[in-house]
Amino acid sequence: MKKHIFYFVMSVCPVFPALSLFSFGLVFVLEFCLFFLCLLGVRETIPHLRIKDGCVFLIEIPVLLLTSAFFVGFLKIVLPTPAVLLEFYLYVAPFSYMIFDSLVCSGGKSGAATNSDGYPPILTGFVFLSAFSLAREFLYYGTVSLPVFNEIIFTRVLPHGITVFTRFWGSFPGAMILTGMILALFNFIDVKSKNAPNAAS
Amino acid sequence: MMNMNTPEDGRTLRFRIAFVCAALFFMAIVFLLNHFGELKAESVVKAETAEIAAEAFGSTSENENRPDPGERIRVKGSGGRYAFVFASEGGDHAARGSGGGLFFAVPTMGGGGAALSVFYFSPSSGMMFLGSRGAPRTADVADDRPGDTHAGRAVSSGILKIWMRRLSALADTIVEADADGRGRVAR
Repeated sequence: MKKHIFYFVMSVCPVFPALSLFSFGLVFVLEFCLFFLCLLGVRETIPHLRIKDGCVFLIEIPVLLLTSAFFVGFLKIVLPTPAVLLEFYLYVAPFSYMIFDSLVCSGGKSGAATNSDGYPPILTGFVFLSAFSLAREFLYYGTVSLPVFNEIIFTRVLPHGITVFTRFWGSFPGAMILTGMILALFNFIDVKSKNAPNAAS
Repeated sequence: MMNMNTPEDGRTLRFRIAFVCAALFFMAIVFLLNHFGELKAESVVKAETAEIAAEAFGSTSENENRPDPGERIRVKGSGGRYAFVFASEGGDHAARGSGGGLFFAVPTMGGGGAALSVFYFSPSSGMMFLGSRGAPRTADVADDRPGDTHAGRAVSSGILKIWMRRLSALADTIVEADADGRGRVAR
């Protein structure tokens, strides 16, 4: 799982600036969910088309781009303002997804399929996107937002006075530093726990 | 070119044709969805722009000459791809007190995330930041005043200045100033 988080953070870097609100994070989770289902469908279909292995990318990337165009169109009807705000990043997301997918399936197997732990690797990404956007909004604005039809509703959870101190960690640079520190901590704990049995023996 | 000698080849060809048809059907749906989505987004962004303008210039009862966003102008050029540009309402755009102005609603990205920022341009007053939407209001944003480029805490003043410079250049290509300082939207 740790490996998947690292891969995901690396590949989703370009859309990080857009993950400022929890509701925006949910929008990206929904888009990645669509990518996952589309790729699953395309990869089931491709063997029947008898296409050379090297040409599969030529089908997958246009399908993902079409899916993101579909999603942007749908979002413009359901949530117009966030769709306008995030349009550029929603078109960048397919490339991030393909990078993550190719990193995860470097062994030759489809990244859309379940991994050795029995769940699709992108689930790790969903958890990360939700947690990252929630933390950013919580620290920067002191609110939690949820998308409803045509608008976003905000619920204040931190008083104004406190956000003055937490705001830096919710801003884009602060959130990147925080993410780096958390990942480094994960890595440190992982290395320590691996070395502990060796030291004991 | 595939040689259709075996039943397996025929089956593959049928699959390929079905795949291409499905792709074309999907593209048609995407096109329609984006067309209607764009219309909806335009009306919502226009309403948001009008709301921000009303806050910035004061309500109608206070200022009858305040500009309102009218017809959308489609422009090509730097910063224009994702910008919604509206001509201020009033005949030839010079009848209202503020002269032929333009409203720009652009998605700006700052340290605090994305926000829909609205700018107003007129040949007499130049480019002015009116306010931003899309992010919750923080304590200091509540104190924002129209025209204050340091407002909008989701977006820093530096980023707003970059946008103002970029949009001013874009506005110059759209609005032609008359001799008396009033503007006219070039078509």
